[in-house]
Amino acid sequence: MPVACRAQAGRQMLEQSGFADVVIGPPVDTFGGAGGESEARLFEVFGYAFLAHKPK
Amino acid sequence: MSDSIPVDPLALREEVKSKYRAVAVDPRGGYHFHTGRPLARRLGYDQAVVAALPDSAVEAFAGVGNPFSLGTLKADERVVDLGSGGGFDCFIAAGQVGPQGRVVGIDMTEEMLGRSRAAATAMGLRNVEFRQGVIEDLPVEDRSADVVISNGVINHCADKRQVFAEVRRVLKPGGRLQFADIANGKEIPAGALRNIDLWTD
Repeated sequence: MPVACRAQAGRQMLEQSGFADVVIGPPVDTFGGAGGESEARLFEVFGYAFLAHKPK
Repeated sequence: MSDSIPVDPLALREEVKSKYRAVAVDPRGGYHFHTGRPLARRLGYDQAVVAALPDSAVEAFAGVGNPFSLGTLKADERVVDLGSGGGFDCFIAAGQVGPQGRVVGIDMTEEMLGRSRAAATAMGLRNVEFRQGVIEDLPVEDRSADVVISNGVINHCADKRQVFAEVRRVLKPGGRLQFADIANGKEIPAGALRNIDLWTD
């Protein structure tokens, strides 16, 4: 799977990039049952939805 | 997340292109990730909406989450999709923004662009367009988008801050970025971070 970042680090990067009101959704087991499942489990990789706003 | 880039960005881009070219040509080829309708079901997409789409619009879908799960798009909105692949999220977005809205998908892979354009034509969609480009340098006008979406693409980019700077450039003031991507709970060892295969598998 692609090299990921921690979800909260993603929030920090978004805020440092000028976005506000960042929301992160619950984890989704993206790789469960797929070929990449074992690697995903090793690094606790999940899918997340992110929402961020450009200030007015 | 570190600002340093442990892999060659251009080599990474070529490797990502190669991987997703394969998905475009053979969506059921057997990858490290799910694809198509089973993946859309796993990620919580509205099954009635997905069922209404032809196979050509769904089968190369290779997202990692659901960018619409934190809010649906509004009628008439202007949308840009970073790394639109086979077009699946663009087609979902097109349905949400309606005929007066506009969706622009950006992808760097010829084979994915060919697939998404063919699917849009087959569906008779007039509010969707696909452009070739990279998401670190978007072929999109300044302050033209209400919403930028993406699904499992930003993590493939070595310079994520440049991607977010581009998103800010194309968004209107007050616009929003809603995307899905993966994140790890355990630290990835430094040696693994230099393994380009881990960025692209």
